[in-house]
Amino acid sequence: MISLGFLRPIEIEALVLSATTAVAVAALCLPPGVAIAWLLARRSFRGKALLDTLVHLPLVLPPVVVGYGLLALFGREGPLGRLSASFGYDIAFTPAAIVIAGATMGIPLLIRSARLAFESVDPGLEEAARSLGQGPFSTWWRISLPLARPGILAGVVLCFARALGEFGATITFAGNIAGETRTLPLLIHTELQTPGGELRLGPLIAISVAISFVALLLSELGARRVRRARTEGGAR
Amino acid sequence: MSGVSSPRPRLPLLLLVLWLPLIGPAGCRSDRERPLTIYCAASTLAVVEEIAALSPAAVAVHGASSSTLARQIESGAPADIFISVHPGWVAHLAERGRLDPAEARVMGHNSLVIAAREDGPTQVPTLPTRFSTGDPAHVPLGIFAAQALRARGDWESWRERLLPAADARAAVEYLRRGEAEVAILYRTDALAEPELRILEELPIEWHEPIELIATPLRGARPGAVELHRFLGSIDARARLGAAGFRPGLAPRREEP
Repeated sequence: MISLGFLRPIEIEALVLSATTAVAVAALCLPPGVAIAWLLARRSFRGKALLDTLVHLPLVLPPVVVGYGLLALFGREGPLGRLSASFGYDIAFTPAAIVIAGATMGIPLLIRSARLAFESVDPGLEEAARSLGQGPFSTWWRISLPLARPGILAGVVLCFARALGEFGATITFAGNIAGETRTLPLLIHTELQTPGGELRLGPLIAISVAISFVALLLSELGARRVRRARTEGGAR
Repeated sequence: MSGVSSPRPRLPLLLLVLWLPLIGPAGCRSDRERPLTIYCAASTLAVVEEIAALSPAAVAVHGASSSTLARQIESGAPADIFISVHPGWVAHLAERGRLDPAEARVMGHNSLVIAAREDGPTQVPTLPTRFSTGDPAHVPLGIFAAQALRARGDWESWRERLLPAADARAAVEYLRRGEAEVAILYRTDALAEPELRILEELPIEWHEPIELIATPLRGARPGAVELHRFLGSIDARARLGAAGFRPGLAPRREEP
C-alpha cells in the first residue's frame, strides 16, 4: 500500500499540487514569520497592538472574506493584479494564488508558535552573550534562534498543514481549475458536488487525515520541547 | 481528614447539571413548530422566496447548490420540497427513496445568454481573453453551457480560456469583477444584474432543457402537497415570468 497505484491520476495530480504549494507556503512564510514573531516577543514599538491584531486577523475572518480580499488586490482590476499584468503575469486563478492564499491563512499559526518560543528564551542568556561581547545580531543568531527552534519548527509544520487543508480562500482566489488549481481539498469538494462522487472519496479522505495527523503530531513534539525548555529555564 | 470528603468536586458537577439543559433549547427545534421548508437551487432562490411569500402557508426557503441540498436531504434534513435544475440530483434522491420522480413538476424553463459588462465588449468576441461559466465538470450551468458552446462550434477553441465558477452566482461575480471578458450565464441571472449586458441569447435547442423541477419529498408534512401545487399556480407563473423564466409548458403530471 506504499505505492500510489490505488490513486487515480487526477488524485495524484491534486496531491502533488497540494504538497508542492504547501511546502512553498512554509518556505515563504518562514523568514517574515520569524521576524514578526521576534518583534512581537522582544520589542515594544508604536503600533505593536495593531500589528498583533493584523497578524491574527486571518485566523478569525471567514476564509471566503480573505479570498475576496486577495482577489480584490491581485485580480485583474486590483492594484497588485494590474501591476503584475503589466509584466505579463496573472496571479489570481493560478498556482501562485494557492500559495498566497495558503500563506495568508497559515502565517498566523507560525507567528503564534514562534512568538511563544522566543518569549520562553531566558533573557539572562541573551544578556550574558551581550556582556561577553556579542553584537545584537550575533546574540540573536547564536542564542535566541537556536533556543526557539523547536517552537519555530512546530509553527512551520502547523503553517504547512493549514495551507494543505486550505479551502475557502483558495476556491475564491485561485478557483477550482482541473489540472491547474484543483488541490486535494478542492478535489474532495468537487467529488461531493457530483452524484455518486462520494463513493470515490475514501482514499482522498484517508490521505488528508494521515497528513494532518502526522503534522499535528510533529508540531506537538516541537511544542513539548519548548515547554520543557521553559520549565528548565524557570528552575534555573 | 481522609474521612471528610472535600466539598470542591461537587461544584463542577453542579455546573454540568445546570449546563446540560441549555444545549437543547439553544439550537434544536421540534418538528411541529417548523414551517414547511423548500430546498431550492441557489440560482432560483430569489424567485422561489418571492413565490413562497405569496403562499397562504408559512414557508421557509433554504438555498444552496443542488449538490449540497441533495446531500443534506439524503442525510435526513427536514425538507418538504426540493427545487433543482439538475436532473442528476433528482434521480440521485429517487434512487435513495427520498422522492418519487413521477411527482416532479416543471415550474419553468431557463435559457442561456452570453453576457458582458456594460463597459465591456458590445459583441461576442471570436475568442475571448477569458470567459466564465459554471464548472462543466459538475455545475449544471457549466454542463448546459458546454453543450451550447459545442453547438455554436466554439467549445474546442474557447475551453482553454475557461475560468470555471463554483456555481452560477460565482460566474456572475467573475464577470462583474472583470476577471472574465464575457460569461455564459442563466438568462435570469443576467437580467437581474443592471451592470451586465446580454450580447447573445443562445437557442434552447443547443442544450438539454433547463427545467426548474420541483418535487415533494417522501415524508413531507401536511400542507406540502398544497404548497407543491401552489408552485404551479397562476401567481407563481407570473413571478417566474417576471424573473425571466419561461413558464412550465409540459407538466409531468396531470393536475388532480
